Amino acid sequence: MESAKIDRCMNCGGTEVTNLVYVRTGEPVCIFVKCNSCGGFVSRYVLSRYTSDQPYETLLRMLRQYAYASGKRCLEEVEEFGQTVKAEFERVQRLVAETGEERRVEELIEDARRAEKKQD
Amino acid sequence: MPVRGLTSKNLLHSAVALALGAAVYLVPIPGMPDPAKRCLAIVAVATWLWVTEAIPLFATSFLIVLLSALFLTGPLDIGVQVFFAPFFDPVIMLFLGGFILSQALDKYSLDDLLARAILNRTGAKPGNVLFGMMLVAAVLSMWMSNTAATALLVGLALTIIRRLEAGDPFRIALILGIPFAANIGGVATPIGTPPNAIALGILAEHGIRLSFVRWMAVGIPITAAMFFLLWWLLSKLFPARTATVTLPPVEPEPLDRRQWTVVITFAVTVLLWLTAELHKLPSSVVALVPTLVFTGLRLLDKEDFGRVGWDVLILMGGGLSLGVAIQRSGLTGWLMTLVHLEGVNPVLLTAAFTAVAMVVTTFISNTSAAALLLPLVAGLAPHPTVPVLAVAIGVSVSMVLPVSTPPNAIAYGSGLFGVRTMARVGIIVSAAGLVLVVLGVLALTHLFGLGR
Repeated sequence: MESAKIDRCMNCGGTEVTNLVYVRTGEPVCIFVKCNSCGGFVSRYVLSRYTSDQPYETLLRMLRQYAYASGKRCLEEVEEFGQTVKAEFERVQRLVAETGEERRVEELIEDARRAEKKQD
Repeated sequence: MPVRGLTSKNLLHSAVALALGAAVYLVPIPGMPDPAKRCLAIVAVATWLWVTEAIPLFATSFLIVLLSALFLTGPLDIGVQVFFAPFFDPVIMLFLGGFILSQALDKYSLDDLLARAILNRTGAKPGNVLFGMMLVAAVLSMWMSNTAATALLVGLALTIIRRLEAGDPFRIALILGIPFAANIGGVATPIGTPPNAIALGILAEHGIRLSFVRWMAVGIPITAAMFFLLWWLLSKLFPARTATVTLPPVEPEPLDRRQWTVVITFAVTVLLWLTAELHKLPSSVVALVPTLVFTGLRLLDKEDFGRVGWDVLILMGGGLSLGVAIQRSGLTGWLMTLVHLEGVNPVLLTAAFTAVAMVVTTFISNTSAAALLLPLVAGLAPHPTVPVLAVAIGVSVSMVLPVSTPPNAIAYGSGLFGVRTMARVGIIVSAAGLVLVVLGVLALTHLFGLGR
């Protein structure tokens, strides 16, 4: 199962939103999404990994916690990282345009979980 | 979606590895005892897999133990624990302590603070900034993984590089200086890079125990000599077009309680490692201090603990286990009946071993190269300390290509230079490294009475 949708304000239906990044020591980073039209709360995302528009620098931050044994493996990951992020971004944009997804995000997450369980 | 790593090429390499092992065992070799032949077959399988990386490097370590358990325990009449034990050898614990220190330094941003503290004092002259960047990379990689130190410094260097003209050669000096300095810095301490710990483990198997400080007595001068050579070389090859370069200033904040705890624990641990010959506490036991303090006080949680380089530790364990197999099976004894190295000039012998190791490790992982070569070198050399140290240090200072070491790969990923640029500098540094390592190890082991 694969889908993508534009985050939309449930209050006014607006799609112009602002991401508020909330960082606390010892807690996962949270993104609060605010509607630009009505100023209401749209959604909250808890971050497991962040990648900026400069993927190489994101990767450098991640690598600070790792020890590699293989230069070959490390080079593969360095080369793949930026390309993977870029390719995913393009794919998601295509999916949004093609699928016209109308389900709520909760439903999407639940469907994805169900599909994963089925695969298992 | 294809399963990552499960490619037909990797499957083919895995099959070739096993076939090669079987062929080595089946080909008649006159005078070779059966256990030695079995061990040679295991070495062949491990070599093929470590060179091709058809399966992850650490998975090969598990395979070594499995094959040793299946094919060596019976003929040698020994228990499997002989092959499992190296996975918790004291040097593995020592290295685990190093990883734990590294995690804590990164989690509480102390590596970043140290880097900025040093760089704030280098001034704005390009040569001094390059020196400062390289110095931080080298000093951090003495205690942290070379990968982590490089990732931190390359990130900082990029903030300087963005302020330079696009064609300024100094950009290349900065971006090349960091990984090379990290590779060189790793040589200085037993926990700097895995080949060092493997060397200590292999020497211990031959009854030769080197303390933390004695390793440093050999490692530090070689690191310092290579460091200055590299700095001079990069300054000459890639001179700056601007008179000044600066890192954006960051206001230093006072350390909090948790950061102080990490700093004090780090200082105590290093002090205990350096004074081990006085208090007689093995360095592996000292490594328990940061491990206990950081996990016990929950400064590092389960997720942090999970991020420790377990795969590297398993790879090292596999190397040590292979060393045990080579020694116990009589493989080295048999090799010694073929190759008589007793009368060979020690300089030539050490140079030959080191040169071979440096060529091998240009294309395969330093840790795998050390794991494969060090047991053989230790077994073959009449006096193993010098060649084992030289080979262990040599594999770390061989840094010609982006794939040669993870720090090289990280810097190459910046896209600021091509393979030829790295190779041009890398060949000069590696060639000078060969001479410095061989002569340095010979002179320093002689000076400190370590040359058995």
